Amino acid sequence: MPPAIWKLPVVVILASFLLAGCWDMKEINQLAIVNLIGVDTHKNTDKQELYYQVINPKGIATQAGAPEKATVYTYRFIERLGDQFEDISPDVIPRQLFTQHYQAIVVSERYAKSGLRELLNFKEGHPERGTNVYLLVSDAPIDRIMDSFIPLEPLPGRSMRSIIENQSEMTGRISTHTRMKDLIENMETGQISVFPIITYIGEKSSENSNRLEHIQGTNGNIALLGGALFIHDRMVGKLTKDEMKWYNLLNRKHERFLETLVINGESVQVKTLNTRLMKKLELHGEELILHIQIFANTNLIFNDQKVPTTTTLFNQIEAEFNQRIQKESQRFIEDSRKKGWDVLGIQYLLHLKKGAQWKRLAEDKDRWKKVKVVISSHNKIETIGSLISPYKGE
Amino acid sequence: MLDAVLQKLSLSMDVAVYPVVSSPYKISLVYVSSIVDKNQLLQFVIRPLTEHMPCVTDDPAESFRWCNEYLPAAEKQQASSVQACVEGILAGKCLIAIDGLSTCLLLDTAKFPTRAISEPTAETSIRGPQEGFTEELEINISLIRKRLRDPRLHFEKIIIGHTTKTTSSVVYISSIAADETVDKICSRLRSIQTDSVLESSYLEEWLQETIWSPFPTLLNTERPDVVTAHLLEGKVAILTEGTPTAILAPMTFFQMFVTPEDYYQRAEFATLLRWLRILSFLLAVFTPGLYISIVSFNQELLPTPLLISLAAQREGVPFPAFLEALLMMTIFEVLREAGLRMPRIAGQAISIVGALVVGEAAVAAGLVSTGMVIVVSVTAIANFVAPNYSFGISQRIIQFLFLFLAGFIGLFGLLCGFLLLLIHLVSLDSFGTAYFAPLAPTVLSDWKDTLVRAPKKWMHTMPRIFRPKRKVR
Repeated sequence: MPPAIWKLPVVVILASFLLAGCWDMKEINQLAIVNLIGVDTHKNTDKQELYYQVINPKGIATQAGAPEKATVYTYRFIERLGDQFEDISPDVIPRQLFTQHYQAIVVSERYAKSGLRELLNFKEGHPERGTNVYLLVSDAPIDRIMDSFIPLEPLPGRSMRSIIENQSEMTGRISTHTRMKDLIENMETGQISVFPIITYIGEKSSENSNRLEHIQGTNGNIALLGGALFIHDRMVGKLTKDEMKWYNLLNRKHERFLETLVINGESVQVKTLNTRLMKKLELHGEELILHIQIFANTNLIFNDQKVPTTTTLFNQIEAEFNQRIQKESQRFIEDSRKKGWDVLGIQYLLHLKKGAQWKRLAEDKDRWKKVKVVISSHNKIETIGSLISPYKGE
Repeated sequence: MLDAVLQKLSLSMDVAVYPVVSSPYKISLVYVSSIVDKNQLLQFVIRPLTEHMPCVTDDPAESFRWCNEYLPAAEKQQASSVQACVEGILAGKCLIAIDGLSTCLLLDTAKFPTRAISEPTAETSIRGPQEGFTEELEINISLIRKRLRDPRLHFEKIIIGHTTKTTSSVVYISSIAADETVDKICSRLRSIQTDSVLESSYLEEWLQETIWSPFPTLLNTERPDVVTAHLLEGKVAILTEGTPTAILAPMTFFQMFVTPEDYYQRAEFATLLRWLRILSFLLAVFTPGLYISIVSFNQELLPTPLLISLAAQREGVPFPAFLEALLMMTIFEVLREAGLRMPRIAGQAISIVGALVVGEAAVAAGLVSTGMVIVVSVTAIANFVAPNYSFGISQRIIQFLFLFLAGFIGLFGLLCGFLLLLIHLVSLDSFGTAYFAPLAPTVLSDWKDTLVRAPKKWMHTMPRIFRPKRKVR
């Protein structure tokens, strides 16, 4: 064998030992896989309360028929964020903390109001701590959420994630753009971010896995309440569940939108599928006008009309739906303005415009308040359900 | 002359010397009784010699002339050296030695034990011919001749091995095969200096371009239809006496995924099956390495439910995942080797024990995890998909190399291994044809029978990578 041929693999193998691979090795059963993280401010000190909910793999893999076991264990630390956290966790956790698979991070309302800059930097500053996870604000004491077993879903973190994703798919009240990284993106530009608020239903936390044997699903469970509104890194207010729907629609956070209309005194429920939004900021003389056009294909989800479903009814529903969108959107925008929230990101749109005139307009930090918003909606009914002539029962 | 010949043969128990007494001078027949057709010998040599040879003259030369002209034989040869006489006798011929003459006559009376043509054992097919080569060179040649009735089909005889004197035949179609390929193969065969050739694999080792590669650069087959198909594409076959396996050259990496059935069924099915074989190759080579990398180094790449499931399975397993994989795969290789070598009657016992060792019992004992059993099983099944046995062995070597790389440096090691493998594959060569062709170097016109098998009516040109003399089929 010529020397050059055997030298190459030898050099490659020797060089590879210089890489971090060999001492990066960690067996999968030596990991404390974190499922959910909770952060709160500590009452008496300037430190934080950190909750790490670690998965118990054997508890998850319980065979069918066997009694439920503890699926997660919550570890609580009181430390300053970033203070060599890896140094203190081995005191309690007998395994290597593995934070790359956590599903969500829950922060207390008081901590959110004090600003999340420090937390975001802590998470972003380490390659093993991602920010591509859902951020939720807790309305309830955070230990109650972190120390509770949730029915139906063995992992509370996954339960929160599923609720967010299901809501986004079904009602459009919560957007999937509620990850930590979304806050980071908006933080620097000063745009508004909205994250879901969760609460705990019940007086005390469900700390025992026996809770999973109880029939009551609602009590001792988490629920989504509405939205926490952030400007920069701080929580500044709350949106109701209904307001979140309009916020998401006007910012095209997702394509779904569910609304119940009243036509001829009876209910009609409609859902948009692929909502498209066009925003155009124009200057007419000295007046700034923001044109928002909404296009969507609509499905008829529920129809309680006493009359047969005809094209006349379709036209009526479409007109009512378009009118509702325009009216309710305007109301939401006005209410937000009164609270000092630029929910449409108008000031940011002004910044994006090029030219001396636009630059001069953008210098006025409150300019967005004087912008006239014109909304037009163009929904078309696409599917009509299966019942054309309703049962009359006569 | 006769004494010298007999001395050389050292009078083995099957060497027979038959004196013809009807002649005024001594005429002797010498043959090896175990490899001659005795009926033929009696009917066409001994009987004419004793009953019909006229004793008209005392001139032995006259008798030699008579034998040469009137004795019926398929092949007659005059031998004037002791060496030629001995070689002829050992090839099953009957030597007629006449006293006072320095030249002898060799008559072909050979009859070697042969077996009937049967189905090839290692290359079975559902559709297509069921004939396989036998150990008899002549039969193998006839099987090719039967399929290729072309005067330009050449069989070049080369004798290799100074002790075994094995006859090999280089087969090619002179109007298609590239001259340089034929010359290269012939010259390499002629340059072989060895005492014995007992199987075509002996020649394969001499013929291959490099010994530092796990990949076969020659294809071996038991099927005459496969040889015929390759000859028609400008390749060269080597048949060897005493072996039912023919060697084909030059060969490329992608030819290792081709089976004869690809051409006996619809093009789209053949293409899908070819993709399946390539996928199986990738599965066989990468599955253990990927599993180890992800489980031991890069857990973040797993979906959370799978991570939890694997973590639960590995609870209580005493070995690191790498050692666990190495153990399981080695046990599987031992089982496979045992399955090949043991008497067929013991097969059931091995199957039962094998299922225990590489199965539920091992998991129940807490020695291995369920996931690892699945990984080893998938790898094993994928290994068996390789149409070519030698290529299957290459796969096994590479999967072990990749397993070690993954065990030491995770995905990075696997990536390094993959790149080194690619470098190695593109640097290989088979008798002037790049091993990774037609992908590297890219020959687009040959892609129609590489990753896909185009319908036959579209394959009207010869594969260019083999440099055939004729460009159109």
